[in-house]
Amino acid sequence: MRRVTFDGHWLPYLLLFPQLLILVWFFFWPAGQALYQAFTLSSPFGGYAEWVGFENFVDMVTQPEYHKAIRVTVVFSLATTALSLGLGLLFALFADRVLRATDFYRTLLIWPYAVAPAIAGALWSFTLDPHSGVVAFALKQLFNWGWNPELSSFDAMVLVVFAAAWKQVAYNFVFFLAGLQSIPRAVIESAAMDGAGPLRRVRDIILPLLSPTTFFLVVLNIVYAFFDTFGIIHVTTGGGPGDATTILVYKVFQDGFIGLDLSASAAQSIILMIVVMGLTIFQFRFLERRVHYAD
Amino acid sequence: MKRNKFWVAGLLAAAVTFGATDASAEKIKINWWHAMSGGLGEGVDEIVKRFNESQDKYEVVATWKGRYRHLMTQTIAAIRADEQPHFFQNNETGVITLMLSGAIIPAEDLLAKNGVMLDKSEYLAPVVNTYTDPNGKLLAMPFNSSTPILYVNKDLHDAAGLGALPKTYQEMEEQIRKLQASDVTVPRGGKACGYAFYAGMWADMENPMAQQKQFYASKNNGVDGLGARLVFDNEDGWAFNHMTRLKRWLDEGLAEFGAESQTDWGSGALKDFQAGNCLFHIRSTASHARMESNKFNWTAAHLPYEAGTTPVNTTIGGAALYVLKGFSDEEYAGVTEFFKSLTSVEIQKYWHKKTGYVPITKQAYNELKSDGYYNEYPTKELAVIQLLRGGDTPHPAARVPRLGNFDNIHVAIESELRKVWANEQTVKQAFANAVRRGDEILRRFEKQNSRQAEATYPMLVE
Repeated sequence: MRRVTFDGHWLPYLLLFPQLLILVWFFFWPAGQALYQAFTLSSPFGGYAEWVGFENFVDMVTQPEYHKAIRVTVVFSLATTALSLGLGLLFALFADRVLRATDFYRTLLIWPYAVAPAIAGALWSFTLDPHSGVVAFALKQLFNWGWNPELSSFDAMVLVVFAAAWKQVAYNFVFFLAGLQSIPRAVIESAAMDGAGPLRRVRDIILPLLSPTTFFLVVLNIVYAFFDTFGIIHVTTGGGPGDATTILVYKVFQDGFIGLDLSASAAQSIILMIVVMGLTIFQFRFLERRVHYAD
Repeated sequence: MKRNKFWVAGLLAAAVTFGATDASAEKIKINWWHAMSGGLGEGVDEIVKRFNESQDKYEVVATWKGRYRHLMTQTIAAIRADEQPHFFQNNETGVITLMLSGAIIPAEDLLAKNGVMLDKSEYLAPVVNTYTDPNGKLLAMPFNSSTPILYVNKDLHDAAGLGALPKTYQEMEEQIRKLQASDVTVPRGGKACGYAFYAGMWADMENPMAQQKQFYASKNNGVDGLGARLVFDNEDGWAFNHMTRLKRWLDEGLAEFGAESQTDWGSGALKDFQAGNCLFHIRSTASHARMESNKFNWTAAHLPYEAGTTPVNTTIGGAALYVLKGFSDEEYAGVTEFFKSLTSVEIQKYWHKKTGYVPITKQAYNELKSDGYYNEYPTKELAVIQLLRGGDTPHPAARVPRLGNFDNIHVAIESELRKVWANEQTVKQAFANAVRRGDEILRRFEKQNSRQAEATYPMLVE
């Protein structure tokens, strides 16, 4: 095979330039700023900054509130990922078997993804409002369950997990559906002829063949739960009650933008960046081994 | 033909563009960023409209930027990008942050430079002392000021024949018990909820503490130095007893909790009260406009106090207007003109009637009184009376705490207390945690700001 190569260096760099510019401008520069801020103590109004070494990091990681935020983040991101992957897969399996009005169902299922996180949060907080929401009323009437995310940490966590997962289900659905459709019909049909029922076919044929999609979605969903759910939490619980739904990224916001302590906030975002990088590397090294890619 | 049309269009466009620049060149634009929405926002727009129509040199443009904390964040970002407004509104919790920011021009300096002598004794003392620096200089132009009062569902109150409105927390409890023992029912069905509360620190802690002469932080509530610590956790203190009482009320069904909304100035407690389900609710006097939509008869009384004590003044909430650096003398002259109009008796009276925020000058208050306005709207006078209890020299504890990153301290206290309402910890644990977290926030603020403080206000640094 003939390889195409460039003669000089300038052309490839020129072609890469726009992309690199965007990366530098929107990622490396702000990240550099955050790094600088994390090692200094500065006034939010700008003006001066004093070099303090690791002091900001030490102040943050020794706080009990920070440890709580880590625990909350783990619970929240695992629950959100599990729920949104589970439901996405379930819907995709059903939608794949729909015979009539396929497009109609698919469009409806994809819809929530177009909703902005803050709007999703507002929708869910209206619906699940303990004072005037429909759900609170129904739960009280039917099960005598005093649903109250304003006071119960458990209810609040359920609320944010639902709102966060609901939005992501649509995204997962699209990928799962595409994954399902790329599985050769012949394999499934021959399994059916061998006497495998629908559940058996899902377990032994479909799930293993879907594993690349699932792996990809696990990585993306965890990143989503870590970062993009800020809007939902901000609108629904504000990190409360107490600090029951204050995930790490919400604490970054709270310290930086309510507390105006940009240095503490920057230190936390650096830690968060390292954690997510570590998590992704871990997933690629250990989880990916169990993924079966089709040739 | 086509060519002609093209030329005509071009000429028209040019005419429009130049015409527009000519018109705007006549007036100097003054930008004001504020946090007033709903009925309050309408009031702001009306004040601005009146000012713009009263003269043809300046044009004030008021822009709503969300709640105070969002407004502050946006203003800081704008200052860093050199795109700040001429002045912006900030609430009573941000005083020390802005005092040490190096980004503002003290209002008193601005007025003096433009030949306006400010007589601070003309203003209500709790309003002025919130915004004066350690040298007694006014940092910002006081604008909207309020204080909490007790709102009462009059229909429920009358139906149970409870007599006079309660003055103390003890009377409140007694009346709630009587109401719940009666056969009076509420729209949601069953017995009334007594006290709907959201445990906003301002209404359930800072203001009642002020009128009971209880210090919130050391160093005269933080006014005298950056080294202040939180001191409200004393077990014989009012705050400790009151939170214990609220928890007991909650357990006995005398009170119901409804958290503050994340998106607007409402709260679950307000919803419950406005739905007609609750007898009492404590909230800012600036909620008058909001209460007018109640579908039941309501009234209000003074913020309750402890039986057997004599309350002193409460403190203010609300905001003042901070002038930012970076503009021309001519523009600042415009800001001064606007401030003059803002504190005129006419505008003060309008603003008070429209919103329920108190008139901030004594003259405006006296005129409203002699106009007979308070015979018609007696509940609007409650707040002014509360603020004037201390005369011109309020008790040092009855002064808005001046603490760094105060909003984050609020978050810490409110979230620790929320765990008390949810039975996750005791008041004692909550206060211990809140004070530890609050003091950590204060120490970080001290580190962050002591250098600026030494340069500008050395008396604040040890």
